[in-house]
Amino acid sequence: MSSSVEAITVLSSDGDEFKITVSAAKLSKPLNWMLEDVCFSDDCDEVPTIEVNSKTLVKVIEYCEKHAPRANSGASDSDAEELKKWDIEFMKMDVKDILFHILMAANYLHMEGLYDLACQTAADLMKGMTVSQIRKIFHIKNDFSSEEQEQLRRQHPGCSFD
Amino acid sequence: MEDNEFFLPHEIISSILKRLPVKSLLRFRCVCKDWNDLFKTSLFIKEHLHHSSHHRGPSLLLQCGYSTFSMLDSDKKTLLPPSAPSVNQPVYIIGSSYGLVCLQHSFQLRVSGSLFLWNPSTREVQCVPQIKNNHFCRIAFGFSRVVNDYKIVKIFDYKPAEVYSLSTGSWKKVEFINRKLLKGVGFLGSFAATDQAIYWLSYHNQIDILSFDLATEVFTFIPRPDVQYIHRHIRLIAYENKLALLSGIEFWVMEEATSGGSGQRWSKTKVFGGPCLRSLHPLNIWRNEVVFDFEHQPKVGINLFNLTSNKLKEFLIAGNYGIRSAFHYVETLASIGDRN
Repeated sequence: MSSSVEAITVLSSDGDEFKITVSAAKLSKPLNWMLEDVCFSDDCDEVPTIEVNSKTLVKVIEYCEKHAPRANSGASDSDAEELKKWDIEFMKMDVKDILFHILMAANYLHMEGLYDLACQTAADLMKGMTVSQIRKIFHIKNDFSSEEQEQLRRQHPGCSFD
Repeated sequence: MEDNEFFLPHEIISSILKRLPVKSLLRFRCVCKDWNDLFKTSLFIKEHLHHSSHHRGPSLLLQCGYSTFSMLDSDKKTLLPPSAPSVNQPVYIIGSSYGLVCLQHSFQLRVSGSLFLWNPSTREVQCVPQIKNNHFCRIAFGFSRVVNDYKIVKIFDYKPAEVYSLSTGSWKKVEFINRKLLKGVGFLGSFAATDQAIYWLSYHNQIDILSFDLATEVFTFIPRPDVQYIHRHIRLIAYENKLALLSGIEFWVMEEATSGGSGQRWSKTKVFGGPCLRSLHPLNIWRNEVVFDFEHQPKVGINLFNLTSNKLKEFLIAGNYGIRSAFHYVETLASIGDRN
C-alpha cells in the first residue's frame, strides 16, 4: 500500500461509490486486509465491492469515522463519555429498516464494537415489545399447536402468546 | 435487500437474545418453538450467564429478616423486593453464586436444616435431598466454571466433608488430610466463593484460610494476608472474582501469581475510611462500593461507600429488620429441577 493513500474508495452492493479514510477502515478486519492487499496500490484501478447496501454503508462509515481516532490512539475518560452519548444518538433508528442491516454488516465486516452496540440496542428495544410484535420484526410464525400452547400455559401460568 | 425477504441468521438472533433479562426471555419463549428450545440449551444458558455476569454486572441481594429479601438493582437506583421463594419455612441465604441462591431452613445456625436451591429470576425453587443429622456443620455454596456445576459443601468437625453436586443430584464424602484442622474452620465470619473455589477463615492456633477447589474437590490451606489489626468483623469476600479479605477498614485482594511464579500473593488494596466508617460493619464490596449495614431504629438499611469518590450513600429498607448479609446476584436461566 502506498503511504500517500489517506482514503480508499469502495463500492456498496448497490454499486454506489463511498470514500472511507484509512484509519477508519482499520476498524474492520476484512477492510484492513484489503488495505494491505494490492487493490489499493497506486497502479490498481479496481474498486472493491463491500456486500452492504448503500443506506447501511453510509451509517457504518459514519460509525467508523467517529470511532477511528479513539481506536487508533486511545482517549481520555471524557472522550469516552462523549462517545457513549454519540453512540446512543447514533443508534436511534428503526429496527427492521436499518438496525438489523447494521447488525449483518457489523458481523460481515468483523466490527466487534458496532456489533455489540447494535445487539444491545436491539435487545433494549425488544424488552418493551409484546410476543406478537417480536414475531413481526423477526418474521417468525407462531408454530405452537393449540395443545402445545395449552401445555405451556399450564406449566407457566400467565404466559401470553399474543 | 427487500424487507420482506430479510431474515437475521440464527447466530445473530441468539447473540441479541443473550443480552435480554431473564424476565423478557421467559415471556419470549412463547414466540416460537425454536426460541423455547433455545432457552433450554446449556450453551445458550452458559452464554447468557456469561453476559449477565461480565457485562451487566451483579445486583446486590440483601437478607433482612428470615425469608425477607431485598434487591438493589445493578444501576443502583432502585431497591426492590425479589419474588420471595415459595418455601413454607423461614429461610436464610447460605450463598448466591452465578444466578442460583442456596437457602437453609434453621433456627440454629450451625445445625443443618432443610436446604433449598432457588433461582429468583425464574422463581424456581427445589428442596435439596439430604440425610439429616444433628452434627455441627458449616455450609457453603458455589459455582465452578470449569465443570459448569453448582456445589454445596458441608464441613463437619472430625468427619469427612460432604459435597452435593447439582448436575448429579447427589452427595459424596470428601476426605481432608487432617480432620483436626477442620475444627476451627468457618468460626470467623462466613465463606467466599469465586468461580473456582470456596474459601473459609479458619482459626486453629492462628488464623488461616482454607480453600476448596470446586472442580477438583481438594481442600488446601493458604496463607492469610499480613493484616495489621484483626477486626471482630473480619470476613472473606469475592471481589472481581478474586478472593479478598475485609478486616475493619483494611481491604486485601489475593492476586494469582504471574506466569512462572507459584501460588498467590496478597496485596493491600485500600484502607478506606474516615472515623465515621470505623463503627460500621462492612458486609461486602459491590461494584467499587463497600456495603455497610446500619440500624438506627426505626431506620434500617445499607450504606454504600464509593472507593473512588469516597462518598457515602444511604439506602433505606422497608421493614424492621436490619440487614444480615449482602450477596452478589446475577441472573441466569439455569434450571434446578431437570438438569441432565
